[in-house]
Amino acid sequence: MNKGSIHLENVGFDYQRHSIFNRRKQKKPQTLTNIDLKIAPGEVVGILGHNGAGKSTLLRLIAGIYSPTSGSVDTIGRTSLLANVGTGFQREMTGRDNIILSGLIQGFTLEHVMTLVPSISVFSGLGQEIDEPIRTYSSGMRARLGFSIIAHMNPDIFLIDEIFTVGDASFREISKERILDMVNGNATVIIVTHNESIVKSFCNRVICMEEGKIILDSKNIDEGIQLYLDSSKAKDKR
Amino acid sequence: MLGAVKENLRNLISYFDVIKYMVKRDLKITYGRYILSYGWTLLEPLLFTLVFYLVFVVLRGNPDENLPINIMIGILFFSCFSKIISQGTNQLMKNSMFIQNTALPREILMFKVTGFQVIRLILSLIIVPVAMMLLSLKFSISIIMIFLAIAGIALLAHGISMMTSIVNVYIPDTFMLIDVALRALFFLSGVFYSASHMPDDYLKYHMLNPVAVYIEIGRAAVFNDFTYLSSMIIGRTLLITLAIYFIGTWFFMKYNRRAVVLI
Repeated sequence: MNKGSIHLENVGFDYQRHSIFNRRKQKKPQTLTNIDLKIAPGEVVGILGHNGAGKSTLLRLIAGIYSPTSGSVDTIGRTSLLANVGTGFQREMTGRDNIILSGLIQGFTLEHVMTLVPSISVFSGLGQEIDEPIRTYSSGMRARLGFSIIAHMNPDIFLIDEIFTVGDASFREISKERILDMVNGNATVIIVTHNESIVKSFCNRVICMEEGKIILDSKNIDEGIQLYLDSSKAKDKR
Repeated sequence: MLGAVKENLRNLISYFDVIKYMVKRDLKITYGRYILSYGWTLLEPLLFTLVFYLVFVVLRGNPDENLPINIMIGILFFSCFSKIISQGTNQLMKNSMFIQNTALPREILMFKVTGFQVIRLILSLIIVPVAMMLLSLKFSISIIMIFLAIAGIALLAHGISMMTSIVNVYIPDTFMLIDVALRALFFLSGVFYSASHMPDDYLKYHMLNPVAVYIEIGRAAVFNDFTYLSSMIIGRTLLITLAIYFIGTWFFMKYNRRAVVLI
């Protein structure tokens, strides 16, 4: 396996296995079952699915935040997750401090991260707000900063969970350019979204999920989007 | 169990820069907004000592002039112990979003809390030599034992908080229970009294409490008086501390990946 490769074999994940009380069991009932997936370096994979389909759980398994209850998850290279408009930030710290902290967590030296700060600051377009605590940022500002940080850290695997819903059109455009740059550098990108237009504009492979299972894995983006739209209609009728 | 402790220490070394940075930021966030900044770490215990001196020595006419320092050492050590436990217990829940979105080993957040409180304690203890000079107390080599007391009480609290942080995810009432337990322990650990005030019949039970022993070591280091601290008592306390640290670390490493799903 090369850097940027992802291999999931017969992966299962059960929230109930982690619980000891019924109250907790009922909170997150969804489960992943028998997930087999191979993603090669340089692919941009879009994952579509309804709420509770298991998309975000799958991403956290790949990121190494969750451990599978069965099967195995193998990833090669540095993996970064950008989820839910920068919730991986320390809210009391400033944007600048969060840049440094993220860099250190990724294994960079303080000196190296310091050299990246000006560039990240400019790319995120935050200006002087970079020295304000994250808790004062809007969701769009957090998304821009989160994306800028990870894009500058050049991860081998970049996992994106629903961040483009908050950014404006210009943010999407520069994000797309940066993602394409990363992919040309052989990075692997996975984008979880409800928005089929994001998949159409960014991805070269689509995965559809329903009730914790992969129901479609295709290079034909239109086919994936159509299946997702059909299942949305069917769900609405139910 | 040894495997868990090894992994824990490996992560401590690998992510030492992250911990260092987080502790520095926390210190800046905590003290940076005040005009006196880090001066508060000294001023707070100094003001307490003056109040204790006024109340216990001047107003109550207690002939023991060392009492205010005794009480101050008790308060500083116990405060470090209780804050590591109370903040550590809530650490996973408080940082739930950060944890759910960052592949950072969770114990790093626990180390951050302990590191922050230890540095705060050390900064506050700078007042001790000042107070010793004011009271014309002689410095002796025994003062280095204060570092044993700091390391011991921090390791003990760290071990306990590693366990309680996980239990708190499953049983949210843990945080309240810990709060009550810490308040009870405050009165049972000789913060406002020392071993010399204990009746002989109860002294041996008092010295079974590792928190009380570490506070006594801190006092003994300052006053160079180890009357109530035999090597057996110190050794036993260190063994209890190591056992709690090992069990706490093993428990945390075993269950944190399961617990993190629920936060």
